[in-house]
Amino acid sequence: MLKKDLITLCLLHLLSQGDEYGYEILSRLHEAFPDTQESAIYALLRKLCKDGYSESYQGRQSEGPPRKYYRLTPSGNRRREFLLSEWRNMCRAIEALGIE
Amino acid sequence: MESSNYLRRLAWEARWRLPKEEAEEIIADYTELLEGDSRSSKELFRDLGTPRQAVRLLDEKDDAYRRWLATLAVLTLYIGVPWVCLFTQNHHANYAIFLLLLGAASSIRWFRRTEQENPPEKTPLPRGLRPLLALQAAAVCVVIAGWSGIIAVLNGAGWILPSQMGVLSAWIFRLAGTAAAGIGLFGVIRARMSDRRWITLYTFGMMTVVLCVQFLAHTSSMNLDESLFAWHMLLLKRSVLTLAAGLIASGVAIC
Repeated sequence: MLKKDLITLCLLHLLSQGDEYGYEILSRLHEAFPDTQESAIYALLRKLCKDGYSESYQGRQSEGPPRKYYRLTPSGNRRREFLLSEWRNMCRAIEALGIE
Repeated sequence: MESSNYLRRLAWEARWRLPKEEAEEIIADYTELLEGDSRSSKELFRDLGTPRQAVRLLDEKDDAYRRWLATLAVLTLYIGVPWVCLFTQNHHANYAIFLLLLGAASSIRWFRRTEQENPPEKTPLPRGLRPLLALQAAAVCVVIAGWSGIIAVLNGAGWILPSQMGVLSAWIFRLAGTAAAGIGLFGVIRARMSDRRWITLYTFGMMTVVLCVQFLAHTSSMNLDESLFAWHMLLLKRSVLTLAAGLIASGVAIC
């Protein structure tokens, strides 16, 4: 599992918890992966939309301008579950080697 | 201020590398992301990467960019071949009209209006397009004036020696052709970066270059079989055909 897949999993997981707007997603992910540039995270987010795992819409909070929000699609949820099981398998394999 | 500078560079890169709709979407996304961002230029480059890196990440296979470079290369070839002939001893002008037709058809096809775009009557012409079109029209007038000078000298006007008029008109055709080709290629780049109607500069420029090639090839031809009248008529037919094709193509391109 590559770091790219790991960030994708995090993106899908974030979106599974509720709709988010771009800045929020990028800030949180950049905080978790400080050595990954925000542009790279944005590119992955955009790819998720292109692949149909997420979709965007214009939303508005009570105050402030309308923003582009992202939400998870059913195929995105399946993708999240697949990546999550991959991640768990990898963790188990690493643990079996005695690495904690 | 720093984020607006970053956005400006990113917009340039996105419009250069990516298809128009995608580029505009990405620019809108980054505008929203960087709204009110107070990071310094150094911090922006560290956190986001350079605008070029940011855009390259979005076109992993570089497919769209390669297609655009190929389009630019082909259009440059179409206008470049006749332009090079202006500076070589090539006396064949028949092929030039085919290049004009190919160049015009390809450019109009590649920069055609998409369904999402507003119809042209709803959007004003891009700023700067009119003056450049006027400049190209002036180049055509200069070319025709150069040709008129040759005819006047051949008919006995004594204000300049025929040999001097020959050299002078050759340079008029070369310089007018160079200016038209340059403006035409500028039009292709502007059509990519902003409004597709800039492509009309290319079709008009292509027409001017082809006219210059035809005039130059004709004045330097050594075909002594034809009478002077037939010689003039041959050029007249060719140039009317070229003008008609070029003007129709430019009209279509601007719509």
